[in-house]
Amino acid sequence: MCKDCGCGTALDRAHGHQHGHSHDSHHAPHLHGPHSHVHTHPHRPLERKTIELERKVLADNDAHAEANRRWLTAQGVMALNLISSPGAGKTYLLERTLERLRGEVSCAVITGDQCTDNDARRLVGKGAEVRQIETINSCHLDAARVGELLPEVCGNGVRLLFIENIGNLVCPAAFDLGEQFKVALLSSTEGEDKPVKYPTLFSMAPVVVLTKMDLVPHLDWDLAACRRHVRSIRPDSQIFELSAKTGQGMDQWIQYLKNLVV
Amino acid sequence: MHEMAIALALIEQTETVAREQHARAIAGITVVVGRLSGTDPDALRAVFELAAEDTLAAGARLEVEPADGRELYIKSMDVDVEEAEQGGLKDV
Repeated sequence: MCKDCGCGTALDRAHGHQHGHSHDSHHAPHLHGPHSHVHTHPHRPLERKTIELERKVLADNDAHAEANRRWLTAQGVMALNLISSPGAGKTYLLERTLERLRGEVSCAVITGDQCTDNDARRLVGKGAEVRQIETINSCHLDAARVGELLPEVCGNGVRLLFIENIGNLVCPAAFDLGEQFKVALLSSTEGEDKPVKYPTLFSMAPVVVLTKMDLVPHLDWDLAACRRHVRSIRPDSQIFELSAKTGQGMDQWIQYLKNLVV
Repeated sequence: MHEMAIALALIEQTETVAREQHARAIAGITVVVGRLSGTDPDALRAVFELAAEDTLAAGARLEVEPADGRELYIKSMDVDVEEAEQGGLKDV
């Protein structure tokens, strides 16, 4: 940018004026396009000033999330944000969970994927309102998108809302959706050290569900080490160990969910 | 890779403030990015320039200050504003 008149690229694009300066030597090194010698507006020199902001980058998302949280609380809905890598078994666990809670706790699901409504198709017909969000190019759900769906999924006395986030251990952790808390899922086919590799999510999730426990006998997977890694990131984590397929550990999980809404 | 969403949010916020201040351009933005924020500073720098295109922040310098926690906030910004009227019009 030219220090004398401030006529740099950024400014040209910002207000699109045409430069009609005399051909001073100070302008020689850069090109301003056609020189018409006409001033379209009076030119005052620019001064640079620093503005202290101290604002969260995601303040807009956080505001939407806070509005969602207020709305959910007012409606008496407990919302859980389920986050894991792809294939950890979020949808399968939800299928079995909805079946077990049917008739006892009124549930709803908002499920996110980059593409397809496959997950929503798997989850409908189990007594819960289900909505799919296809994010297309985005790697996470955001609070505004979730907020738009809340009134339609959480009618009819819904008490428990599951938000199944995009399969991704990094990005969804940064976006508060207005949930009461995050639940991290980790399957036995993943490394037991995932919590220390992805500490952001595991530090934010007070509940960790270890899934596919039925596969453990076939794997070189160290359950004790996994628990240790979870607690090294967050000592007060509540850990569930289950297999949605065999039903192992499901009773404790279901009872825990029921206790959340009594 | 959600750094584009971060960059766009960053620019939207700073542009709003810059407009309120009648700034002609945003010259620089300083953000604090914590190690546990889930945001990669290099990826953020890489997409920032593209996200800033055709905005008041086009060509702005992005400074990333590291932190240890979940910090992700805009610390400050430098804007170019026209000097006050009493300074007199300076024709060139």
